[in-house]
Amino acid sequence: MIKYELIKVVKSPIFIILLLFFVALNGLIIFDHKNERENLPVLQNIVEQYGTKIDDEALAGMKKEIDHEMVWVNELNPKSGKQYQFPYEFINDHEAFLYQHLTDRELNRLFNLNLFTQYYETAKSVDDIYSELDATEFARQQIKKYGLSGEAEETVLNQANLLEKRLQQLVKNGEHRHFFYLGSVYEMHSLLFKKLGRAIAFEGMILVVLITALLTNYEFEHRTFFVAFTSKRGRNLLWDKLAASVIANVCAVMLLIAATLIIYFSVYDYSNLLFVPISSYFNSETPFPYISWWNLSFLQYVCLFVGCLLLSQLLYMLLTFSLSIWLKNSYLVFFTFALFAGVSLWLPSVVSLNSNFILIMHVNPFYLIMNPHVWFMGNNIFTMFPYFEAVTIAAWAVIFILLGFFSMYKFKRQPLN
Amino acid sequence: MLVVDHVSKYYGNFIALENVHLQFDNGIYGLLAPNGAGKTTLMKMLVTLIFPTKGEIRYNGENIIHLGSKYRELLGYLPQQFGYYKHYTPAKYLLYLSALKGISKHEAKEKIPELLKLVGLEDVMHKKMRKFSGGMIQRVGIAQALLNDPKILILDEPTAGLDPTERARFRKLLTQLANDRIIILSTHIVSDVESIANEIIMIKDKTILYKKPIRELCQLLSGRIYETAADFQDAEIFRKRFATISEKQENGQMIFRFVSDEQPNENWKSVEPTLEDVFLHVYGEGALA
Amino acid sequence: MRVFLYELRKLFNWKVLLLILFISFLFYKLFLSFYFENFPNGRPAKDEFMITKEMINKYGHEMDEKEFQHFKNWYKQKKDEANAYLKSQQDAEKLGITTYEQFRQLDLTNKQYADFHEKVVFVDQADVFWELQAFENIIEQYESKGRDIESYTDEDQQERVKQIMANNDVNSVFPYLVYENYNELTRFWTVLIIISVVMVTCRVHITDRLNNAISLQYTTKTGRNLFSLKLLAALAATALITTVQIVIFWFFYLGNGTQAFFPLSINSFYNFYYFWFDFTFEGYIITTVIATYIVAIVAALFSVFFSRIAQNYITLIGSLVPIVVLLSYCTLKYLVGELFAILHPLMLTIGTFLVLIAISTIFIIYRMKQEKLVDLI
Repeated sequence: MIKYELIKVVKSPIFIILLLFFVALNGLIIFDHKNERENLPVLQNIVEQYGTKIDDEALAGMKKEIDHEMVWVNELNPKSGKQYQFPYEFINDHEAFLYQHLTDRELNRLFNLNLFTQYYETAKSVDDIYSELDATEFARQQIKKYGLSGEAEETVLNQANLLEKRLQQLVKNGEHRHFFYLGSVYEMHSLLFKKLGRAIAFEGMILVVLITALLTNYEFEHRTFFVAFTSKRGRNLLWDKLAASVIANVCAVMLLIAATLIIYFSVYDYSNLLFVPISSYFNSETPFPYISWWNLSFLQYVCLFVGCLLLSQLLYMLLTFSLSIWLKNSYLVFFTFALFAGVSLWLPSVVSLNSNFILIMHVNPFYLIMNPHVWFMGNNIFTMFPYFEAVTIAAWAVIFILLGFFSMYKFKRQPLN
Repeated sequence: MLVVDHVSKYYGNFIALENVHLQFDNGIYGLLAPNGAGKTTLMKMLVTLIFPTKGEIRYNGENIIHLGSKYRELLGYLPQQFGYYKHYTPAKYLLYLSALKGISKHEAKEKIPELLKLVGLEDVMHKKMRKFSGGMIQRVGIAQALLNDPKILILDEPTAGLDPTERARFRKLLTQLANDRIIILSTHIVSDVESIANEIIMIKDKTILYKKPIRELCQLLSGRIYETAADFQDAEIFRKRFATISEKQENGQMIFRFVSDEQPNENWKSVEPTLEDVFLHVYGEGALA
Repeated sequence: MRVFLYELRKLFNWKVLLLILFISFLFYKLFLSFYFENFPNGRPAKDEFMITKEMINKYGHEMDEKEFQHFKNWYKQKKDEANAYLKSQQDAEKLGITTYEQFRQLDLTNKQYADFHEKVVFVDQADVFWELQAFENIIEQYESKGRDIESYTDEDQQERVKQIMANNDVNSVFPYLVYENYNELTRFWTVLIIISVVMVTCRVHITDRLNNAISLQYTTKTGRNLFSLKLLAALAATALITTVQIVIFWFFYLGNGTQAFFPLSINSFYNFYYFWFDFTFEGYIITTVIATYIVAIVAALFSVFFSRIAQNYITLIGSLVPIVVLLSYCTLKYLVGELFAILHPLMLTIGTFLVLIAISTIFIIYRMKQEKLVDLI
């Protein structure tokens, strides 16, 4: 039976078309601003030469290289009469000169050196930066920004203590002392996990809702329910449809994720960076860096990210399944689902800011996909719990599964005419 | 007069109808054929839902496609699958269809109750159709086909879902209407047309086999239909030996009917052929083995 | 006419209207309410808003050089007010801060100075300090008008900036925050209109197909002309929905109190955008409203087309998702948002409008022709 249900999905060309459209959209996101990331290979050169770990040897080597290159830089404008130690000093003093007197090759070499120096300077200052980091202070600023108070404030501050402990452990492990693409310049973490992550989540949601609605409502929309539900399999056919939905949705979502990631990693080279801790300071894009709850490498983080994306889509599938049983009309299911999503995103904003309820309201499967770039991290005060993602998915899975069972229970007793 | 002038319909290499030539004057025409013979294709061409690949259909000398709305104004059509809005009442739905048929609101409001009374739905005219039985829906369909007092009434399986009383009523209605209009109805139920049709049209192998009055059709098999009775245990032998056109149970025995040019046996009596015999003979295995 | 009215009524099914109501409400809450409830957004934006309004009263729509000197005197008066305030503060006396200039140049890495600064600006919210920030922003922008020409690399853009500098419009006191607020609101509101229009009009044909009503409809006197009537009904529904949404928008937007800026040129020294055309704010508003109607009609045309050819709701919604996504993207970026700003090539905006209108119209005309010929099996 499941096979026949799957054929219905396969025979519907709209899903392939949508999938291709979404992959193309994601491709656009990936290629957008690619020009601003042309200097990414500078890091690859650093890593190839010095490894990903920031140690004294690496720093010494980099300094030596900078000094060596600065000899060339100082010769670019002998008339300046000054000897520069760092390329950015030269660039600041020679803004007009650069574009008038240097060839493209020289400009490239100079800007690459500047970037190289930026990596060096950042690497040197990493320990100082982390010694001044205070998770509690960060939490307080965020509390003030969002206006939390009372119970909510207390809970967040308690969690901030946990985060502080994790921060100390992170520093002890040296997770922050690893080279990675400079987040403050390139924002690669946001590009991959926020922009693309959100895009994939919403695209997957659309595909999942359409596939699940197609299968669940099929007999009603094709008026074959008289025959289908009076057979031996009867109304239990819906379970087969659910099973087929799981298979179809997993395939569709995985295809979408795989195609997107293949494009992304073809365009941006991460070959030497897969085992760099995700909590590397270089990855950070804001003054308070990304702090994962566990020591996760970039590759592990990507795997968890994919897993979380997939599981959230399965949650949407379960909700759609129940909606379809009640509404029996794909048009209504689609827009009612959209309503659910909207309400879930809006409700937290009407809850009192001084109660823990506001934090509970954020434990919902739609809010979950709004900030995929801080999954498994402590950077968002509303999700500052180590197992936030797991709890959200597990709790709502139970709710939606129970809803599914209840819907089926009602369906089996419903007159069909 | 409605003329189907050497009309063929092809879908790529598939032949749906080939070289159909028919003329219709006022009266009732029964279109008899099994599924897939091309009945519905012919009907859809008559109502301009599909267009002939070859040939043309003319009404009073003019091509019906060129006539356009002037032709459709004269049409009443009941499709095989009658579509309706579940949340509409019959009255509301007929009012909507009357707008499509170009009937004024005033006139429609007068006609609708009459038509619904004619089909026995006057008590439910303001009830939503979602609760209706198949037969009731079909009667709404019949009512809408008559809304514009059509000169050409095309009915595709009109008695599907109707009980015997309703079918009898329907036949009576058609007889009353047949004087001044062309009524073409397609059906599998021979008894629907047997008593009322002026002529029967039979389609076989994608073309017209016969277009004759019932009496003439039955005469084709005159003196060739035989009937005999057999015990149940002999029934299988009969079936293997003779290509029967029909069989039924009666008084604990099987009664077989079949076609033969000669009386095979004195126990087999010659009977008057019916339209059903003709239908079964043409489309089944009617010859003596 | 009757058929047209019936088709129009069929589109406004109560369930769909209820859905649109809820979705509009949520959309408003998630994307729009912020720009209504927080305008101007914080300080010194609030002060900039009030001061520029006051400038209209004092100087009219534009501020010439003479008036600018007057403005600077006004600024000096404010500084005197600030000085008086500081002199009245004990904390200031303790820290030896007696003038506004000293206050401005405080080293905020010093905790005492930082605390005092925070107290004055954020805790006591002494108005004059916020107002002075606003004054300084305005003065800086006025004195540096035209210098941002270097940030435009395209010759046409640079030429346009020069044109704007040459005429008096650049002295308009129209502030960036009014434009940005209107821009954010109108572009998101148009996306809401697109979604509402598509939700309603996409049902125009498919419901009849799924109810098997087409063969009945097409054999009546109206026949295949029904396609045109349904199209008209869909366009009428689009006009109705768009108008209602725009009216509701204005109901909320008038509460932002920007009416005083309507007659001002938006190519002002104090707006961070330049435009290809010499718009007043009200002229710009009318232009965006027209753009919104065009986008809505394009959405409706695509919707009607796919409604006719889709076999089921899933195919219909699946077909319309890319259309809605693309239309919304273009709307947000340059079709309504930042409409005719020189950031976007003029031909891109006009070209996109023309292409969208052309493609959607071609689809409909093609289908109209097909309706006359196609077999309805």
